[in-house]
Amino acid sequence: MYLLFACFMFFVGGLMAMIIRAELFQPGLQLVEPQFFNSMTTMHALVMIFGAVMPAWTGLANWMIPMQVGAPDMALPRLNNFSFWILPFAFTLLLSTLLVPGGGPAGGWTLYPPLSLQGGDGFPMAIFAIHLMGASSILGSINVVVTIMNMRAPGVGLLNMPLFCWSWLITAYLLIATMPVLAGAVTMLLTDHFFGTSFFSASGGGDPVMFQHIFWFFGHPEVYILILPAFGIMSEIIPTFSRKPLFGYDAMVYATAAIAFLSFIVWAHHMFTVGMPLAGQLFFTLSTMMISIPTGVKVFNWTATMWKGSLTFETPMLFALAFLFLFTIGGFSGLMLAVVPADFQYHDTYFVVAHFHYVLVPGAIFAIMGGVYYWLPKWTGQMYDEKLGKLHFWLSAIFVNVLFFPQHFLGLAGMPRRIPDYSTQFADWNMVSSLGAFGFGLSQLLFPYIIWKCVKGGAKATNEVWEGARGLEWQLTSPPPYHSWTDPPSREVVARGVQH
Amino acid sequence: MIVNVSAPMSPEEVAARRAKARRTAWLLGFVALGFYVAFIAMSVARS
Repeated sequence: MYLLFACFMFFVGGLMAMIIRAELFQPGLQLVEPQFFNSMTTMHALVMIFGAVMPAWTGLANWMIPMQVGAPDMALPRLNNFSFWILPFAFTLLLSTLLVPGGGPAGGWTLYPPLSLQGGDGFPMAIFAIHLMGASSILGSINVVVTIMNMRAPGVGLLNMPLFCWSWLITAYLLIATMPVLAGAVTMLLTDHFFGTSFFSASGGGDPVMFQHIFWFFGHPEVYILILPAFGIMSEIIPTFSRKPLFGYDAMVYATAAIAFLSFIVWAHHMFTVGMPLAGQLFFTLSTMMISIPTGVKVFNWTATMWKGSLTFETPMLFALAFLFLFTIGGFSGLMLAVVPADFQYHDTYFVVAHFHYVLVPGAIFAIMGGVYYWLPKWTGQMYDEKLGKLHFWLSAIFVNVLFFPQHFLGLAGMPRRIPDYSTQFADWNMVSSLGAFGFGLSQLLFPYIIWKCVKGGAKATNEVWEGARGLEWQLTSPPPYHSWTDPPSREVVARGVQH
Repeated sequence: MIVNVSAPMSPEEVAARRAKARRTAWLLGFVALGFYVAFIAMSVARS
């Protein structure tokens, strides 16, 4: 259910991206009004973050964590049901803001006041929708923590369970700590708008910059909430197709925990230009750069896992390799943005747009797709069409670069983000980027088709599916029983399935 | 078919695990609520 919902919202958010790129295909106002364009940029972000990527991770967690820890199901199935069914209501509410007077939220997904407080009738609807999404995420995270901490089979210890479980465990703690902060921030926006408070209104003695601090205290860990489970999936796929155990399992766990810890002390690098003391700039620059250390450990370990491995390049591995290269590009542009004088130049330009899309599209989205291709034969008991899978990969990998790489040039040349019109000097690269967007969008239609085709029929999958696969899920039948491990696996099965 | 499973858990073990799961869930829920209230309280104190 989560995965189907995420797939649907991926195409809704993708449609919004197509509208944005169609408008930006040429300079001048072509297709939509500026207010609607701003709504599209705002809604695209909210839909993709809260409607596509996060539910996709929760869906993968729901399906895989019980299998990987030797449990019959998630610990709290009714809570699970509740947390899922909040989402369709939340997104119906959010999308219906486009139909009310004043239109949808248009001040960017960051909802900075005072701009966001000037919204129309859709403002309280969007705030309520964000509360609902946050509640759903918190409940889903509680379920993940409770399942991993209480439902592990005998012999499945914390330091030998799959890294997908580890990365999700850490993500769940991040979510529990940060989602309430976002909820608090938007509650205060609501009271500022309707109940006469002045938390963020300078005219009443409030401080708009305080909202930015609170928002980014949530917002930066949120980036890692979107990407840490991707690290977990990479640590599953790469060893399987390298036919080697993961290099440095313990280091990977500690690196993930270090990234999560550091994510709480870097938030102000998003707001260098508001003006802050030199000591603050130095602290947030250095703490941001420190994140590259545990991230570097991860990239090194994945590379070392492949070193002298017996590599094959099935679709999940192709997505994993693209993740490795392209996410690293996104990481490097992030380092550039961490340098204060450089950030003063790049801030609010297309360079930032290119940076976070490199992290989130070939990062989070490619990892989700790689994970789906990796586990689809296990879920359905049938193999997907490998040729179509590879076609999907190559089209995605080529077009994602055509789409986002030119945005670095646009940003360096000074094109601001969130504008429906631009100077003619930016025309060429915008056209290239839009062509890439149309190609990327169209090629994604292959993804649901390949899944549908696999569900309908295909070569029978073995229990192990992939030659080098390790983990308890591969000890189950393909497809697994409705309640995966009704009785806990024996210690011999656990010993065969654990990571090291 | 699934091969090689452990002995099923006794009803007492299942009940104990369920109670522990519920306790953990309530604890985490209160932690989340604590963060929500704390950040609003901090903002009230500042403004």
